[in-house]
Amino acid sequence: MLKLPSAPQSNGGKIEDEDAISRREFLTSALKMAPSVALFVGLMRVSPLKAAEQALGMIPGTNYDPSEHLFAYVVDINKCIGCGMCVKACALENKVPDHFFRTWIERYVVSEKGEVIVESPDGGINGFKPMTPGFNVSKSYFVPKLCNHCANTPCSQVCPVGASYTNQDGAVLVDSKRCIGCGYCVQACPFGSRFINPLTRTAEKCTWCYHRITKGLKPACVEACPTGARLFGDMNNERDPIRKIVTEEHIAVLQPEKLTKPRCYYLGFDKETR
Amino acid sequence: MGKGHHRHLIRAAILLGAAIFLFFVVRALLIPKSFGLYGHFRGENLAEQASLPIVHGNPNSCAECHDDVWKIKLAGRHAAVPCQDCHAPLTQHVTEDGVQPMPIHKTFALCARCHQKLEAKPKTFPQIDFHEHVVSKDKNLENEEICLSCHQPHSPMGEK
Repeated sequence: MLKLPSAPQSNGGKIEDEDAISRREFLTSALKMAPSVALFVGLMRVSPLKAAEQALGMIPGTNYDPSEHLFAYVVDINKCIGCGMCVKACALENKVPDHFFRTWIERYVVSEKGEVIVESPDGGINGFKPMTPGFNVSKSYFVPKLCNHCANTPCSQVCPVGASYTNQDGAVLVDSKRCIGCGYCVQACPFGSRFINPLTRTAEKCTWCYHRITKGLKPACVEACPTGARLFGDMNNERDPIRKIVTEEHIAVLQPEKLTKPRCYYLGFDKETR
Repeated sequence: MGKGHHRHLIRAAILLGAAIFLFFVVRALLIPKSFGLYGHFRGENLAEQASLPIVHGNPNSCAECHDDVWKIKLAGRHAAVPCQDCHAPLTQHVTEDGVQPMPIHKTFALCARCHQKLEAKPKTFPQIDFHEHVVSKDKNLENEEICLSCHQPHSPMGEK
């Protein structure tokens, strides 16, 4: 690729004008600069990005190799009782500031005519109270929500500093030291799963309790659910029950038309669920 | 050709060289060392995320000390209810300074989170209208711990 400079030619070529550069002069000088240009382009390519993308292995301080796992999350809408224990556990586990939520529960109340009421009082952290919808209820259900950990994620695509990213194990995470708090990702997420933490001024979201799953524990919300409405597991593990559910059950994802390929799947999904 | 043109080129080359040098210096300063280790992000962040403190303990760890209650719970209807839901996260109880008293919630507000009759709860889930239930049992609803006067929280309906 390197263009070697040709032998120096000091006074060749005809000179028609005192001030003009001859073609030969120009080409010679250009060729002399070629090595530095080539060096520049070469160094651009050998950036740490490419070289290190192959460098994989255990996360320091753990026995956990991200390349060996591919996580998935299943929410069974039919089992959720709206107790809000998951929201409470999440807030305690991750020190989520008051009135912000990494996971929350929505209550859908639908009439025979198709009227829909959706509510989530304080994210459902204190459970739900009886309500009077003002119409004859034909069906109603709770929908727990969290970051969908999309494979084709819009949020990390818009991050200008590489603070939001998708890891090999499927987890979408935010590097709070790198985040500048611009909020692009908050707007980009079609599920409303992100917020700017008012204390740190950085973007925050569900991490699937990354500090727990890297040590073989389940996320706090999954551990807290008394009815088994929330499930978490490793698709790369043949014996993991979640693999059977995702591959064999009738599952759906939120807003499939956005083509974000969520890794959170829903059982018992209703068409009114947004 | 005049000599002055050479000087122009040399000046331009020096300027370009300086710009390239500056570019790499600034680039090296701005991009963290571990950036790109696992992908387009700072690789060290994975270790930072993984090292955050665990708050809720392993659900089975309660049995290590409270085997008696654990067995009662497993035999009853609340077998699947995690201990740390009604009590508190394990790390509030077992701390570096030794064992601290575990907070115990006994109010019907706690029971109501699951068992208050509600729109949207699965029909098969046991739920009651609290007022009706307590009045029918001739009890006083002003007593916040009214539920516990009849029900044992670890096995509320006796053995299943």
